[in-house]
Amino acid sequence: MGMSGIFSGLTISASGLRAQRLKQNAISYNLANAETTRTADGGPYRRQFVVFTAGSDHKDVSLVNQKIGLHGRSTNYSHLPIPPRNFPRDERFFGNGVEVSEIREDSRPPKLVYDPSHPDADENGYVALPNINVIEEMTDMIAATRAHEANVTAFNSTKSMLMQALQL
Amino acid sequence: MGMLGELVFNKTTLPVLIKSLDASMLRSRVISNNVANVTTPGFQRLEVKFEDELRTALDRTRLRGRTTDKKHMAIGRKNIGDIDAQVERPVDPTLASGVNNVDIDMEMAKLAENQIMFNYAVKFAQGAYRKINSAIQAKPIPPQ
Repeated sequence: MGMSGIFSGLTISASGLRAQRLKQNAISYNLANAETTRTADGGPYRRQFVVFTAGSDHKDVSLVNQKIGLHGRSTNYSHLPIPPRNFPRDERFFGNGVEVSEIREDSRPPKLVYDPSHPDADENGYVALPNINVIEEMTDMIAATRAHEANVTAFNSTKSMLMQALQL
Repeated sequence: MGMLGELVFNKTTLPVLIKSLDASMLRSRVISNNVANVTTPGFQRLEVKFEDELRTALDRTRLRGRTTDKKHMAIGRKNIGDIDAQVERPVDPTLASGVNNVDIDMEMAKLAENQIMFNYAVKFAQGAYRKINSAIQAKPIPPQ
């Protein structure tokens, strides 16, 4: 996805909104399955979480903070600076939003609870329950909600700037 | 742009406003990108540098070297047309958000500030264009 063009600010915020929504979905899925002991793969449900990666325009990453041309060093106050040239705007990297690179299963072991009457209890009377901590999911949910709101604010700010620019 | 265009549009005000509108737009993208990545582990926030360079370019006490050949090296302060907002990645190893160095309150504050600066530049440019227009039509500047 090319990141030039006037609507790229909106696309960047939209990628953040999407990422947080996916995170919210994963949390809902975890909470809904907090006590699920049977899955298609056998065994209890395993906690799922999303992994975020910073999106980038691959060709440009190395150009950040780089300058071209000679850079004159001034060693005295009265020297005139010879500044280096900067890369032209189109070649510069400024990030490309966020991407959800994968949805992964948590490798933590299942919680063992003693409940001999449960149909899925093992011979010692222990049931393997999903490795989900409800408190952890709730705090993650609050964080995802707030991050989503922050992206909404950024989106609205960019939108209002574009609307202002139309009035020039 | 022809001679007349140079005379009308190439005074200091409009080029500076256009450059700062450009910088504000870029900054809005960079802040949006920081906000979008607030929960990305290992992300490093980006920043736009513009005002210092603009200030240097506008400082009339500094000498400016004229280049009359492509091979000349530019010395002294730059022309306003040559300055450009730059994206930089500041070295900042703090973990403001827990997983990276994006401080969400800071970004929100910068977002608001940037939006106000943009609106200000738009209003100012509107005024400048209105003045040029009224001069062309030989009419007084209409009230806003």
